[in-house]
Amino acid sequence: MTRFNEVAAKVKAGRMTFRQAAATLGITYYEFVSLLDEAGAFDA
Amino acid sequence: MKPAHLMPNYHVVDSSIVIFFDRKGKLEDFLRQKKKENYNVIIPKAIAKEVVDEPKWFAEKMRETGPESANKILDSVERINSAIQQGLIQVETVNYRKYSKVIDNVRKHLSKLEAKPEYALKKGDPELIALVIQLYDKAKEKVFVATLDKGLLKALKPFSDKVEYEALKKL
Repeated sequence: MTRFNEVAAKVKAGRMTFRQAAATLGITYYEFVSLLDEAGAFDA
Repeated sequence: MKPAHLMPNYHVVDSSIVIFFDRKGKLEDFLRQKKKENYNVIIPKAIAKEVVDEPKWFAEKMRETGPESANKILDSVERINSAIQQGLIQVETVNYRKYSKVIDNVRKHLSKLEAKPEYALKKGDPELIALVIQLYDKAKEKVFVATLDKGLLKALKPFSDKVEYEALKKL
C-alpha cells in the first residue's frame, strides 16, 4: 500500500501519468484507476 | 469545410474518463450528453485496448481467486464495448508514419518525468496526443480532451494551440 501511496502522490502532483504509475506498480491501467477511485482520489 | 453548426467537434477522451464514468454507472449518459452537444467522442486504438482487452484479460486471470470482482470487471468491459459498438465512442487509428515526430517528442517528455527509458513507456499517452494533433490537422479546429490525469495534461501543454482541456474532476 505504501508503494501505491507514493505513486498516487506523484500522480496527484502531475509528476507521473496514470499509465506510468500503473506500469510502475505492475498493474493494469484499469486497476490503477479503480484503486484511485476506491481511495477517494476523484471525490469532489 | 462544412459550416460549423453541421460539423461535430472532436472530443478525445482518456481511459480514465471512460473507466471513471463506467464505475459510477454514468458512462452511457455522459456519452449521450456529448453527442447531444454535437461532439464526436473519439479514442485511439491503444486506449480501446486499455479499456476493453486489458481488463478482460485481467478479469479472466482472477476469475478463480476473485469471481465477484472478475464479473464486475467483465460487466464493465461489456458496457464499454457496447458503447463502442453503438458508435457512442469512435475508435480511430493514429497515422504513426505521419505523426512519428509528435510521438517521439511526447515519449521523450514522459521519460524525463519518471526517468524511464522511452521503450518502457506505454502507448496510450503518446497515441492520445498524436490523435489530438491528427484530428486538429483534419478539422483545423481545437480538439477537446477530457482526462483525470494531470501528468497527461502537462504533456499536452506544448500543443495548447491545438487543444482545449476539459477539467471534469480535480485530483
